[in-house]
Amino acid sequence: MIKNRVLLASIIVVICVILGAGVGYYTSNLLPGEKSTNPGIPGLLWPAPKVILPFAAVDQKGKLFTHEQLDGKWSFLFFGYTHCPDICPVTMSILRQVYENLVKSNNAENVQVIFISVDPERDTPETLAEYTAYFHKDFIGLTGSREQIEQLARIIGIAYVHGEKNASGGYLVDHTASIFLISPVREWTGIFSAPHDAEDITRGFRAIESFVGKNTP
Amino acid sequence: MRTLVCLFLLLSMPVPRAIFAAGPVELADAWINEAPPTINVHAGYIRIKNKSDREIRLLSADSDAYEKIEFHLSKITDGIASMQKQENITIASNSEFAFSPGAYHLMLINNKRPLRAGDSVQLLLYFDHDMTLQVEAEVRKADPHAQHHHHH
Ligand SMILES: [Cu+2]
Repeated sequence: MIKNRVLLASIIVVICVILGAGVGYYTSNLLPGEKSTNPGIPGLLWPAPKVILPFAAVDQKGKLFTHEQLDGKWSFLFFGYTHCPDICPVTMSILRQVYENLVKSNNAENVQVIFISVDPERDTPETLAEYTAYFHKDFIGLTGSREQIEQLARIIGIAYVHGEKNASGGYLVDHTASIFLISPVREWTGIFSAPHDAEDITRGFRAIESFVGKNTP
Repeated sequence: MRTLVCLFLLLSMPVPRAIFAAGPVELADAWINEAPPTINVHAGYIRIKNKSDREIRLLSADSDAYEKIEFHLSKITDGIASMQKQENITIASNSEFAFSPGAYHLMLINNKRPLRAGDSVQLLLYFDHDMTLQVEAEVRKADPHAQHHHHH
C-alpha cells in the first residue's frame, strides 16, 4: 500500500518536473480551492495531499489526543515501538536534531513531533512519556487501544505487522520507516523516506512549509 | 558446576578496555546505546576482526547484565523497517565484521540492573573452534552524526 503511494507520489513528482515551467504560469492565478503544481521539492505530496480523517488516541500523559490537535501546526509523525532498540532511536535522534534546528531558527513554535506506537499493548502512556522525553521534552507520544492504533494507521495508510511471540513473550513489529509531515490544515503534505538525514529533513521541511504557505489559496 | 567456576574465573580476569586481542580475532569499539530507564531492550555494537585465513563464526553471546542476547539485522525493505534474528554471524577470513546502528546489532534483552551512559557491561562472545572472548562494552548516548553506515 505504502509502496503504491510512494510510487504514485514519485510519478506525480516526475510528471510535474516534466511539465515544470510550462504550467508555472498558471500557478499565480489560482481559483479558490485549486492547488498549484508540484515544483519538484523532494518529499512534497502535491497537488493532491490527503486529508487526515478524524481519529482518537491517548497521549503520553494519558490524555485524549485527536485529529484536532494537528490543526494549526506542522506535525512530524513517526510510527515505531519502544522495544525497537536500533532503528527507532536512530530516527528519534534525527527528529530531535531536526526539531533543534527549527528551534534555533525560531521555526519550531508551530511544529510538533509525534511518535505513534504500533505496539500499544506494551507501550503504555507512562512508557511513552519517558521514551519521548528522553529525546525531547516537547515530543508527543501516542498510544491507545489496539483498535485506535489500527484506525490511525489506516487513516495515514501505513502498514505494521506484529511478529510471533517467542518463548519469553517478546515479539518484534515490522513498521514503516518513513517520517510523515502533516500540514496545519491537517493535510498529509510530505514524506521523508529512510535512510534519514537531519539536515535533509530540515531543508525539505522549510521548502515544503514555504511552498505550501505560498500556494494555499 | 565446572563451567560456572570457569565462567567466574573468566569474568574476574582483568581485561583491557576497548580492544581484546586474542590470536586470530580482535574485538573493538564495543558499546551499548543508552535507552530511557523504562526500556529494557537495548542494542549493542562491536567490530570483530578476523585476522586468520579461515572463516570464523560467532555462535552466541552472553552477559551477566542481560537475560538474553540475540543477533539481529535491521532492514528497511520497501519503506518497512524490520529486525530479523540471525542464528549466527560469519566473519570471512581476513576481514572485519561490524555491528553498527541501522544494520546488525546485538539485541540485548531484559537488563538485570539499571544501565546509564558511562556504565560498562561485560559481554562474552562464543565463536566456533571453541573460542570465547570477553569484552567490556560502554553504555553511551548515540551520536547521530556518526550514524552513517560503514560497509566493509
Ligand atoms: Cu533487534
